[in-house]
Amino acid sequence: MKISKNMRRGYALTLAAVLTLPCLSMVKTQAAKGIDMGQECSLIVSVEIGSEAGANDKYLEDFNQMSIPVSVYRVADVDVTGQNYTPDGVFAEGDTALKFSGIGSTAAEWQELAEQAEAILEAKSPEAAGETVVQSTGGGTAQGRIGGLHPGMYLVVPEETYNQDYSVQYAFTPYLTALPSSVYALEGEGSDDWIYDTTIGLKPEAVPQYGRLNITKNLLNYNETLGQTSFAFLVEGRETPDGPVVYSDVVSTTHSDAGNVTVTLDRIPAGLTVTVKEIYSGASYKINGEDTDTAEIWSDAAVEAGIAGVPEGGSTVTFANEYGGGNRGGYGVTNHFDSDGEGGWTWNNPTTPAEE
Amino acid sequence: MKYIEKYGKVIAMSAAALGMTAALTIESSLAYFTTYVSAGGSQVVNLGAQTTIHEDVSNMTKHIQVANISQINDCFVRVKVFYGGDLSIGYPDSPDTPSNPDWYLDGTTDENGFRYVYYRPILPASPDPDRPSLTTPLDVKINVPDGFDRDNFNVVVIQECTPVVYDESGNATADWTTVYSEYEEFENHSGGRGEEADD
Repeated sequence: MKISKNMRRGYALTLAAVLTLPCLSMVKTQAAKGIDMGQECSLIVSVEIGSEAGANDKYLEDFNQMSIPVSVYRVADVDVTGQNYTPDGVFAEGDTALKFSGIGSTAAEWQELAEQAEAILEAKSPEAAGETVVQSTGGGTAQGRIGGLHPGMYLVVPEETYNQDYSVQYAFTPYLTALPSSVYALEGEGSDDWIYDTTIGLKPEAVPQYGRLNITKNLLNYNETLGQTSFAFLVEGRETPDGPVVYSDVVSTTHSDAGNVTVTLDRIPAGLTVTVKEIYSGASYKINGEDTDTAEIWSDAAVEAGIAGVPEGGSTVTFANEYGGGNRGGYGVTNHFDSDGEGGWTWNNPTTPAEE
Repeated sequence: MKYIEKYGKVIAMSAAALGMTAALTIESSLAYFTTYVSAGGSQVVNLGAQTTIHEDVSNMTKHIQVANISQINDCFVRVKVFYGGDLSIGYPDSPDTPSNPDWYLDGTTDENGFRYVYYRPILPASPDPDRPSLTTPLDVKINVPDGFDRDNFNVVVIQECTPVVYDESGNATADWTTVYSEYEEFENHSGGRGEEADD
């Protein structure tokens, strides 16, 4: 599946628009009657992939095929008024116990509390109160249902999940939701009747994946008199065969003997088809065979997972060269620049300083 | 150097050709006898010119120098810079003209859009290997466009050298195109093909 950066951003924006934190309005709830503490609740975890979000076909394609495991953990009891929460189990232990008092109605406050709950979860690994797998149910919706939940506050934890070809990872922010809930609690207006079967939406973030390309140069023979020699390659990536170039970089190999030298380009967006062209064949060497080849870029995650069709170690293209009869020496270097995160670049000098 | 043993006859014949040729080089003829690559026709074989590349970077400008590490061969030098399509290069004072007049562009662009920059002076041999002769710096500015959203990129710099040859008038010239026809014999008899090559 080919996904452009703009599309990925579109995923996140679209999803952010259709989702809200269920707890945001909870504190505004003024229930006319109390919660039936003996009634079990259910939670439908849903991803809306029709209507608004369905405008993005790639997103729809991914979620039509994905299975997203979701677990819920009961972090607090709720009293009959639905207003007061008391941490439960491992979430009530020691200095890290969750504190609901003083939590206002802002998303940031609830998100911070959810992160605290997630930290406790990771540290103490309590048993999940329920699990489901969100899958496409047709009609532009993917969802999973968890039943048998007692009233309380729950931490909803969807697992990070890759799409079919591992070119995109969908990550989720764990968040808190109250059961039962009400229209008023969810939307800030409307009925405050308790709803024991609640539906919430996932909040995925599309994380683009990267892969690597190995370029192997097989030097068939080597002219020792001329010394070491180099070969340069231009790597251009496209999302579709006729699409624009969305990735372009160069790299070189340097040889001091006949035989193979392999260089690896990493951080190439997964899902691209790259065209590799030998654009420099040494000062006195010539290509033996074609000077251009293509390869698919599989994400590092896909290589690690060993999914079908993915070459072990990632994609590799190979070129061969031989001495061409010239008397010119010389070689080259690949200068690698890394972002310093502040708009500048850090250069890794591949040469020794000149000494005059 | 088993190649020398294998091609002793070829080298000897080529040495005879060397004696008959009108175009002579100076000290570099010594290099001829140390190479396993044969000469064709009446050409003089000039091999052994070797150079190394040295770089520094400041303000995204590369300062490139080339050293001649050959103890016997004077040479001419040229440099080419390769980069990805999102980038471009220029020179500190001009997009198309190196600031240092020792370096010049020859005006031609290869099929991939890259150009050689030539070093005008002869880069003399370095009798003292600890003090190799150096070109003056070639400053190449790397232009990273606004909105460039990668977190890394490469720039490849290659340098080439060719031995100085003298024309019939005694003028020093650079020959960047010579190909010796009998090298094929070397290839065919070397027995060294890729991974099967002898170490």
